[in-house]
Amino acid sequence: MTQNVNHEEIAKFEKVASQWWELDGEFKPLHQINPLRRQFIIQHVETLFEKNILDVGCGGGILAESLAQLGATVTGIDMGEEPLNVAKLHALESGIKVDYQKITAEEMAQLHANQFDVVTCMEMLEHVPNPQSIVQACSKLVKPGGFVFFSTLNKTIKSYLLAILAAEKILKLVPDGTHDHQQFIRPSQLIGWAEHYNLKCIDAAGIHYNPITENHKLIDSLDVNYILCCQKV
Amino acid sequence: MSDTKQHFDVVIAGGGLSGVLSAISLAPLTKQDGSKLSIAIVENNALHDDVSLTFDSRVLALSHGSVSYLQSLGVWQELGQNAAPINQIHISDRGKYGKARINADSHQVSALGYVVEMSLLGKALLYCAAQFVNITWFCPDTITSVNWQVSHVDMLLASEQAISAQLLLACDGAQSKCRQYANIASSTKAYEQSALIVNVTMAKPHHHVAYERFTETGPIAMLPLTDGSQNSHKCSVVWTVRPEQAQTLMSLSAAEFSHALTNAFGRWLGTVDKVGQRVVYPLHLVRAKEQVFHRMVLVGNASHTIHPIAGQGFNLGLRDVAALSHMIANQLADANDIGGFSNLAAYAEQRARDHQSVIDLTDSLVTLFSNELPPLVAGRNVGLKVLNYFTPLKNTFVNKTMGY
Repeated sequence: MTQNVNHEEIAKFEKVASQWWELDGEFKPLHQINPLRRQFIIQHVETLFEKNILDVGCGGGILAESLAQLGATVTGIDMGEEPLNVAKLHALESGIKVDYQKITAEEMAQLHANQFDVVTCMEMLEHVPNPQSIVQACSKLVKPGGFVFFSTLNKTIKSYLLAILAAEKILKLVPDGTHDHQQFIRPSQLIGWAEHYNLKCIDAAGIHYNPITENHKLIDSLDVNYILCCQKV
Repeated sequence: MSDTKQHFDVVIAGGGLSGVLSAISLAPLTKQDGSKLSIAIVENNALHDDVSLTFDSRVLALSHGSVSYLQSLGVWQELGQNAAPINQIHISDRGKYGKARINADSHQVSALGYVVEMSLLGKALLYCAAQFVNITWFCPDTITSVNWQVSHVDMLLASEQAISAQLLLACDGAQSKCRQYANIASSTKAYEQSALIVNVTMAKPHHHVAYERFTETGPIAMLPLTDGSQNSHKCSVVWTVRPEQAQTLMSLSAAEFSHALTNAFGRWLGTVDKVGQRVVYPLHLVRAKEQVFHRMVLVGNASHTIHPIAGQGFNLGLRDVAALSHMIANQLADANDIGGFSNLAAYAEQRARDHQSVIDLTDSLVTLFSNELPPLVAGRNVGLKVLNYFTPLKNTFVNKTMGY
């Protein structure tokens, strides 16, 4: 089976992995929006305590660890060796237990169908060749009635201006080439895929991030960065 | 171990200021069945009749919002006589002629804030707590283990009693054990400054003026205290200095210290006539990474221990307690689980901005003071900045969110 992996994308993240937990480094925006993402998850899931959660595309573990912090049993998967090493090391330092594995979402779904209360897939779909296949895998992994959260970047002119032109080229907040606008996904498209795989979209919010003021909040507009909450039928 | 496990709606770890304040904020709340919340306080130190042994000699500057809240709980009524109003803030620089004054009158308030000794506030809080039959004390006792369950929290006490709760409030201080049980990390930032705190009697009465004096070694705050008379000469001094200077000041005899203080502070109130016991506190910011956990909330110093420079630590903690009891009252009205996590998370979210702004204010003041002698204009700005946190007029955002 050909893995649903873009090796150039993996290489990009391998290179900057050591920066992952630097609060003022390349991943600063991610650290700043993480509380918003977690808050959105909590609003729907109620408590994270003893919930079995899978974080698909966990990278250096920013979200995974913050979920485990609140008492969830978390598994984080990624195909980047270095980010996973960074994640494991950080978990050792913080004393928070997360099970990190190098495996694709599709392979994970073969092994652990219907096992998770919650599956999260944040800022990941725009980095794989076949995002639809990830949506399918997430649906397979979650228990019936369980929740899947997707966040990604919308394919709008505004998202090009903000996420690529401003963030990468002008302000250099994130490394040049972090994102490819062609890979961005419209909410309608993502919701369509989700529903095709028995995931009913029950809520959506925009994640607003102003790189200059560093102001960040959840908003109604899905123009740029957005997060969906889906429930498996 | 006893076979029976006692269950409470709320267990409070720590019977200090924030613990007892939390208890009396929650004790009047009614559940759907008409009964009151059952509350337990687990306190390590035996309570003494002489509460100065339980609470230390520090003083607190209370903002208007804090005073209104304490009034609503009936605590202020017990304290009133012992709280000294600040009618004027007087800001001056050593070695400069200029000075600035901020008056209560010109801000249309009866006082800019109140100064109260921690031990007296503690006494008033304990008195109020004693009026509630639904507050149970485990004292002296300690929570030795916490076992989180989905629907409740199980705890074992040093006395080998087992208790459980819907909600655990960690009011167990800067080194909170409960915070450690939940594996919540905290960050500590040392300011490399110490606060030397001492009560003094001045030659002249203070007339309810609070003095902020900038000196080469650091700022001196001279806060008015009551002594029962109309013309109190009693003040609390908070002298912020580098740690090695604090040691030097501690090693002086009372007479030498009086002289040093008179010299640094100036003669606004004449000479320093009498000096009480000097205590030094290293200044640092301790901040928990998370404010809430499953069925647990960190309250007061367990959540944030703040540099006292702007006098905002206790006021901030009090706003936390007020917001928390407001949230719990809403949950009771809707017959919801008071320990439901999404509400606790929403509470933490709601409080985050206030925490950050107080910490930012504190940091900016500390940075300003750790440099050279700040010009008076900076002093005036600082005074106004601090005032922002005291007067109800300027603090409308907080007033609105807190409902007072």
